[in-house]
Amino acid sequence: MREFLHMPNTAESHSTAGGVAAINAPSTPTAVTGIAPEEIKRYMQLYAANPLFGYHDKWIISDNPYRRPIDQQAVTRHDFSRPLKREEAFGSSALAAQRMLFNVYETDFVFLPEKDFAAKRADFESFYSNENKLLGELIRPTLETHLFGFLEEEIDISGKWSAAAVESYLRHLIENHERSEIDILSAVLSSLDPEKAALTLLIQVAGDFLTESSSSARNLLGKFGLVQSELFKIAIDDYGYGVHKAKHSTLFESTLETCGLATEAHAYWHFYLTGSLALNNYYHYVCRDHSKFFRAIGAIAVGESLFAHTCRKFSEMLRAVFGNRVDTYYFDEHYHIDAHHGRMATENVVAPAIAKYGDSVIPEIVRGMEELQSITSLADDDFMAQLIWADDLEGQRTAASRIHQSGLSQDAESRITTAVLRKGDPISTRACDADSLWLVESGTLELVAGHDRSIQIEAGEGIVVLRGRLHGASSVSPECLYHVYELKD
Amino acid sequence: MLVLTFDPEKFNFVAAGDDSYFLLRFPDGSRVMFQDRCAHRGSPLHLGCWNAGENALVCSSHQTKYPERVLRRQGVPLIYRAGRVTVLLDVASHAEARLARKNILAQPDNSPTDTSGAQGTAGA
Repeated sequence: MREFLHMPNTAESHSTAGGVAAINAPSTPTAVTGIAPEEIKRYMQLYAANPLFGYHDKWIISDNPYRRPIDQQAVTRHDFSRPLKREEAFGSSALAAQRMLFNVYETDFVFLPEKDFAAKRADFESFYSNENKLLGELIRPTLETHLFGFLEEEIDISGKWSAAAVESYLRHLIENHERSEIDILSAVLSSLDPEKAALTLLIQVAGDFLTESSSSARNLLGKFGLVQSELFKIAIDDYGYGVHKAKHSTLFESTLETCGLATEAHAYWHFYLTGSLALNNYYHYVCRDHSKFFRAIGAIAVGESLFAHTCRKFSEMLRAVFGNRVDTYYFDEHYHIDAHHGRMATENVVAPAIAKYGDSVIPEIVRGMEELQSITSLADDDFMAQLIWADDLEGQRTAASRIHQSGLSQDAESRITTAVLRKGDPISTRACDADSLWLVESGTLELVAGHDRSIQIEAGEGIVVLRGRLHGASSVSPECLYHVYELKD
Repeated sequence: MLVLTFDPEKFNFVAAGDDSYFLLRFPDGSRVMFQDRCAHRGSPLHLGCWNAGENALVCSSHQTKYPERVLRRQGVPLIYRAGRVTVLLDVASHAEARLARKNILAQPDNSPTDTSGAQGTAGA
């Protein structure tokens, strides 16, 4: 029996949304928390069972920043106690873990809805409740190791580093980056539907840009002299010197609006790709744990230094796709200011930190530089793979037909599930660990591959959903019966 | 400084400026790059041997020892990520660098590394 079960989008019972009082004492302690892995798993299930994180009824979550669906069934079925390998970074386990971890991290920040707070007050209180925060804190170290543990294996730093070597390396990275095309932007421009591709990309970055610099702002407080003040200058720029209209996230809202997208935090939660969540979570991972402070400033130095060129190209891409109707000021401002921020992070943060705290902090700084590039590359790969798949939904329908006609038994290893969806059933998005074939027996299924990216599958038709690709489903007809088969390689 | 990135499965030796450098791979998968010149009399260190008991590279000429921790701390600044090695060599950034694969006799696991005689040239 395969552990993988592709379950239909059905509403779950959330009656187990429990409090900390339900937690038993640990049995076999783990290194980090002193709690047995099976207990941690149980806490994860309790965490994910919070009604806030249950299924939703709409693809866009309108003005409720506390509603953040997690695939509860994935939480139940996966083993989170081991680090994932890089090649598993877009699978079902990774998606569920990234969503949980993102929620854990973001309970540290203030989110308020734009309208009708009274109606959302219960959600607000639940999101920031001690029960939710304490459960989150208990599961956080395990999730971090599960998702980012592979970086320890993937990256090694050795040799006699100096401040001059760090500076040379950073300059080398910037020069290479500025000579290069930005693959994700090229992918948007060469997409079959550049407008939808650009919207997909804006949605991916919205999870970070709408909370501009919140993760790195974790390293502003405390007492650490000159470096602290220099980091503060970068944050002040990002927050528009307290002028709301100049705050970078406000500028980004204007970009979203002019492209016809919602500006509320996490309105497009369902469509955040695993890689995009990983990139957001990585900044939290190194900035929240202050023992990773030097790693964090390395990551920030690279991020700020490379972002200027990325923003210039991003702005060009948006204007090429949307013409004059798009407000690109957010990106134009960053093109200007991040050139300064890159220099500030390098000359005024990294270099003084090395001078003051010694060369022994350099390997951590360089590790941060490398880890950020590694995670960025993951996020880029995920985005481009999703774009290619979403562009080719018709082709995937044809492929399904071909597989079906050539005899299912030769290609399908096992039937994963048979499900009935009804119109209006709660919805969610998820990712699978293997390619799968969906066959509709009756009714009409809408297979969703992103915001405003979907295909309708009629009775007798099918579609191939590729491994790691984010997808969801709903029924267009009153009822839809379909089967899902896992495909062999 | 010259920044070079290369595939360590193809190359383990770099000549740049007046110096050359060799790559060692430890059993745990980590790597160091070290100048190929013994601090004692300048003999090529890649022709030394690995003393497993002392966990040290031993120069073939006069048995000068370089413990692993010294190699790690005193080696060329090196980053290994996703199957690629990046090194920063203390030569002019526009200097020409020649990459090669040699038989590194000092390799800790003693695995034969030579053979292909692969060669390449790399810039910054």
